Amino acid sequence: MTAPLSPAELDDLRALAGAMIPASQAHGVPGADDAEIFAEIARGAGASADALRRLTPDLGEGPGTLALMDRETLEARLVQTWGPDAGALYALALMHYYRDDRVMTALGLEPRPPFPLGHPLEDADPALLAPVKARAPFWRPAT
Amino acid sequence: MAVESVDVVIIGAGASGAAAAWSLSDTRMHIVCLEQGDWPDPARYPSTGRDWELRAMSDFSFNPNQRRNPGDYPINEDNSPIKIANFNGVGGGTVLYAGHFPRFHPSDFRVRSLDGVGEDWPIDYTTLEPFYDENDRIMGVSGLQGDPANPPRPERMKPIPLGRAGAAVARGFNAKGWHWWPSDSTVATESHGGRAPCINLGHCLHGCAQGAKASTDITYWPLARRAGVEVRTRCRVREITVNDEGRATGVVYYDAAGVERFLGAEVVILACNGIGTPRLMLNSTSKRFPDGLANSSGLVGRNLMFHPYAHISGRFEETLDGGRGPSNGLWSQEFYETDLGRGFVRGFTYEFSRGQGPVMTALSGMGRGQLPIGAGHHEAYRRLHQKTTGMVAICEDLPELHNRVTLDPDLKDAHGIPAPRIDYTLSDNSRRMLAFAIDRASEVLKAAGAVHVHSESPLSIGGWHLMGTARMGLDPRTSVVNEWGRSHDVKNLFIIDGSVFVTSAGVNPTSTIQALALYVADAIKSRLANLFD
Ligand SMILES: Cc1cc2nc3c(=O)[nH]c(=O)nc-3n(C[C@H](O)[C@H](O)[C@H](O)COP(=O)(O)OP(=O)(O)OC[C@H]3O[C@@H](n4cnc5c(N)ncnc54)[C@H](O)[C@@H]3O)c2cc1C
Ligand code: SF4
Repeated sequence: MTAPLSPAELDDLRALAGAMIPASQAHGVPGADDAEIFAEIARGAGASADALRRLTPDLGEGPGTLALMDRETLEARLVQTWGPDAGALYALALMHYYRDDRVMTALGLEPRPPFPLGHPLEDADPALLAPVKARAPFWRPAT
Repeated sequence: MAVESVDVVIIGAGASGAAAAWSLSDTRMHIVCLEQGDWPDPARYPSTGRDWELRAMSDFSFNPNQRRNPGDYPINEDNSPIKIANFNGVGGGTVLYAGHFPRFHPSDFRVRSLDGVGEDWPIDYTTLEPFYDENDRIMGVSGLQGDPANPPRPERMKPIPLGRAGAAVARGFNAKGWHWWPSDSTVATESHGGRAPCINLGHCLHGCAQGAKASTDITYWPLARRAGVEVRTRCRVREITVNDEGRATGVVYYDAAGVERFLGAEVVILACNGIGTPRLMLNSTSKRFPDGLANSSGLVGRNLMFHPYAHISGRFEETLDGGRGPSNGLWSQEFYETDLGRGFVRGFTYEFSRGQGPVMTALSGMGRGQLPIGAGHHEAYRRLHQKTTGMVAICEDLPELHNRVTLDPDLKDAHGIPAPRIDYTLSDNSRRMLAFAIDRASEVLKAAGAVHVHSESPLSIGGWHLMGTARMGLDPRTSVVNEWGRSHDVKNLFIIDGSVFVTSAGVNPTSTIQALALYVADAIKSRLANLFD
């Protein structure tokens, strides 16, 4: 069984999350290293622990060292060494980042589950169908 | 202890099992349905919680090997580029299906005569038409009459709104001068039979919490149970037993507590789908049937057909629907009937595929290399968010003996029952059809204004249509059941799920599976006096 992440490894994961999805003032969104978002990422990290452990030596010196790098350096090293393990951690970050209230609100989405309020969906102009309605039946009869 | 015995046992409470149970319930026979999964609980469907998109990848994934719920059984699908999608519980696959509800075309029953491939069905469209209509009535279908690509349909609820994404795709088809039409769908757009109309939750593929989508747990089953049919959940059938005369005597199953039980039955009806049915038949060996029940033809498990899918999506500059609304709502059958000039035989349907919620947008953006990490991330995400739409191509798969379900020598389910193994290869005809479908769909999306088009083919997650593994026919040497669903070898054994398909057509199969189930149930009812002759 995969051992849970140590505090140093959690610090590294948080630094990676922040390098992958940084905060943006321009878009009014926190980064994936934001405390609330990262708490969700850490909760869901179980299956990704091995990916982090395999990735760490490629990026830094050992557990806890990624957290000490500046964001730009970490981002550049990630891009250089990109592979399935980095992809797995990126997916983990995305899965939790894009359901945060602040992120959803900044995207113009209401921060709520779809049910029970649902959503509106526009009807299209019925005239769109006119050319198809004008066609004669074209299915092949067969008995 | 006395052996428990009933008139009819139905194995599997999915699309076909439910329809047959309802139809047979008016005979007042003692009918029990054994289902290995549970009743679904709509209050717990993913769309009721903030983690709705995540649960689509865990306990509501449509791949049973990923989902691993207690009702699931493992499947060795390593030797197939297309992975199985199903749901094991009351409602079966309809709990997760998209509700896209086209019918076969008349030509689909005459593939050998018209196009020289596959086999003809022993029945035709006219035979099934009244059962299609009856099924539409119980399931509740929305759509629009007058489609020039199809024979006439009965009245239905108003179609699913196209939304912005549907309108964009429709404009693309119009620009090419190609057919499209609002889809027949089991998503209720008005109140229907106690079901509330769709409120566009956009999560049809992971259970409809609103109850707008017709899964059989909320359509056929309430009616059948009211009429006296009993459903026993968490009851997994291990084998069907036979006597020395070759008649089925009943089933051995494990009940909810894991206790092995025997249920005797006069009639056994298999409704476990195109994988579960051959699995159970191959697991039911006896002196009389050493190669699996009712398998004198050697065809049980063979001729597995999936419908290879291509997914083609376009990125637009305008804002579309994102994750709002049912996933489909429009089809095109411009390329449905055979035209050998296209480089392949038979054809396909395009099914509109609306869009994605925020998490799935991010994950697919990552998968397609459209979503960088770091400084450029947010800008790139905003180019994708609510700006992607497209379609899938549902390609007719032809029957081939080497595509098959067998029993895995090692893999077993929680009860120790051998699990199925899938061996499947894509045919050259399918490859050519998929490539053609991608090219034409790309033209449509570009004509609609897409600035970038992406495709995936074959769609690896798309093994949701399971057909052909116990096919219907007149000749016992080349088919497993006769023209009304009765096994050639075992005269009180019936098969009513997608296994009996002779060919797959180029449409989603469930309306045809259910029409066949109603037709077989009707055949049973009309022959009760001499059913086993
Ligand atoms: C994600 C997804 C999307 C889909 N979208 C569409 C769509 O838009 N349109 C369409 O037409 N079709 C669609 N389908 C396919 C549709 O769900 C199936 O065609 C349909 O459910 C098949 O009906 P069936 O009766 O053959 O089997 P199922 O509905 O699969 O039912 C079989 C039942 O048998 C039970 N069972 C199996 N073995 C045993 C056993 N040994 N003992 C007891 N019980 C057993 C299973 O638990 C299951 O409940 C989709 C499917 C999925 C998964
Ligand atoms: S979109 Fe409609 S049918 Fe689909 S889940 Fe939502 S309410 Fe149900």
